[in-house]
Amino acid sequence: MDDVFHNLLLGLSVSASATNLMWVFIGGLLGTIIGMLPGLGPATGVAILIPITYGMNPATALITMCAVYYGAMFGGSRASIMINTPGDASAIVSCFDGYPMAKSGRAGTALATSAIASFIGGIIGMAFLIFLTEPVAAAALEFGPAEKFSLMLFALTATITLSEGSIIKGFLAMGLGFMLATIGIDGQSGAIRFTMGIIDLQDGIDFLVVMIGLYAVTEVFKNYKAINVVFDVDHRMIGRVWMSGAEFKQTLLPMLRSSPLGFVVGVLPGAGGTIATFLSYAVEKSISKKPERFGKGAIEGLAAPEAANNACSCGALVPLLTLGIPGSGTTAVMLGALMMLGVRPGPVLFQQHPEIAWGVIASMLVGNVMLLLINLPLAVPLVRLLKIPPRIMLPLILGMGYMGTYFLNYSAFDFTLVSLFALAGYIMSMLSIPVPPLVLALILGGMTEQAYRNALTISNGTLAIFYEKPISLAFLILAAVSLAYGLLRHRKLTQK
Amino acid sequence: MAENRFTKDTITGALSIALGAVYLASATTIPVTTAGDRVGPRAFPYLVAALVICCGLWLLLKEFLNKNPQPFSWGFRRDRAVWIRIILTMAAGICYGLVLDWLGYLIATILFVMFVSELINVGRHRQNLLIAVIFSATTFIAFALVLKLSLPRGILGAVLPF
Repeated sequence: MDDVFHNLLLGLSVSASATNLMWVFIGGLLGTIIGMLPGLGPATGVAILIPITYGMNPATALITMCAVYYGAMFGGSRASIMINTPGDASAIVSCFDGYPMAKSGRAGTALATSAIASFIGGIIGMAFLIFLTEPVAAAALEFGPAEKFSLMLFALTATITLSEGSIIKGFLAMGLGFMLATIGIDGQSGAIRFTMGIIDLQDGIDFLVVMIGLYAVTEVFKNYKAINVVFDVDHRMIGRVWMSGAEFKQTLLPMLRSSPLGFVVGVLPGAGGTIATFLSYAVEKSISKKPERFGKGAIEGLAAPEAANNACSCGALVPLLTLGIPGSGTTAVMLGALMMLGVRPGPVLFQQHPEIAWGVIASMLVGNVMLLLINLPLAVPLVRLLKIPPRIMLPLILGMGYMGTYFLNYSAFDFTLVSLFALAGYIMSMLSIPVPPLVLALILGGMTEQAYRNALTISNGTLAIFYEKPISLAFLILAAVSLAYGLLRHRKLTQK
Repeated sequence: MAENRFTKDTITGALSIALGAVYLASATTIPVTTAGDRVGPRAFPYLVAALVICCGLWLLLKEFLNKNPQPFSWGFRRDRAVWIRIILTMAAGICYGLVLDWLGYLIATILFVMFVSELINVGRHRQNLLIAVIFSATTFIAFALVLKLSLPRGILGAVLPF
């Protein structure tokens, strides 16, 4: 227990430096702005803001990226409340009661509720994160290749079965991700694989190139259908951005209930903010004495999912920081950016670079406070940004995306790849093939293959090693359970 | 239209099988060395190819048994404007990469942002030029001067004061 406080103090001393505080502010603000724009979520935000972290030391870079991630979570619901258009999937639920609140003249209260609930969810999530990381990281240190392989299999299976859409297409996307991961020189035998004779492909495909294509440029392509949309935002109607004592009392319990719920959902790979927000909304509605108020501007209906969403984003950092396994598109982008900087999250990070690991955790505490300070007084000017039409924002997103590509490897070939992946992402969305399993498989592909081959080398080629080791067997059972759950849920959905 | 006979899942299935087959064929040509591990560089790609092909077959079979298929269209005709924008954006992105070192960051970025703005923000030339210039100048100052990253100066290299 003392260790935790000692580490947290170390982290606070790292995060409280003037430079890092400044970047938490800038990252949080930029993240809020991007998260706010309809259609652009945290993954896009982190992907196009990666260039600002180049030249930073790894701790500052990770702190800045977390601030962007966090800011996007805070910002996502602005658009839900004001224009009934969620910034990303996890902000859909915030439309249910946030928009009716705004329409009935309580926009200021809704914006304040969203910021305060996000803050409380974030702080509670952080508290869980602080006490959970150390033991998880310590346990993960003992994992051999067989355990690692089974863990990654579980993470990937859960991502497929817990996310939206067809399970079979999820597995297909995973296969495509693995295909991309195997392009380039094989790390273990030195064999050149699948480069089609293109020398630029020998080092493999940089996942950040894929992600800028899939998350930044594809999102712009999807917006091409509706570039002339003009959002009607009347910022003069917002009024005072604050909530009364009675309103706070009314929402306190829902926020306290939703935060742990959101955190647990966040820790599970694949189950992100969308599930957390829908679940917490459903729980609040079912235990409410007046469930008929929900959907008509019930303040708890806004506070609960907002708190759950931010607690969930803390939970998602547990597997990322302690196991090096991202559970969502956004955390996958963060992992990719970190690996660029030479930082490999995972159990070893806590041993070798406690200042990075704990600096990030502490900076999120600081970041939460700062985002609350950004989001309450600046709510009105921020909301005015929603008035900027997509036809002006989209070229800027494209500019940021392609420019960021240049910094990755200073290679003109990457521009071609970004364009091709953007097209591929657009085609995938037309065919309803989910993107997150592809991204996760691409990032984890190298490690998965390595663990698979090392395990089989240890076991002299017999697959028994995967089920004879108890921890590995446990992960395989979890993978099977998540698959069974996914199939059952799918059957229920199609029968309806 | 001919493409209307296909559903989303038959197209996905057929594409996956084709992709998986090409990948599998390519995997059989990977040179196997005696060095390294005993599993070798082909085993994992074989598993991946099998997974992708099985998913494709499953989707085809499922759609074959489906009694109420929903026709799918790429919308090349209906959304022609969208597709043209996509293709031109991709082309602009590729060209941006090719001319970046030669023209330098400032000019290349102005041209790129100006071009995509013309595609998206149709007809507002002055506004587009303004956006492009402000974007390039701001990012250049932020990245080259504040964050001290090296950006290509290109043909402007001799003229730039800093």
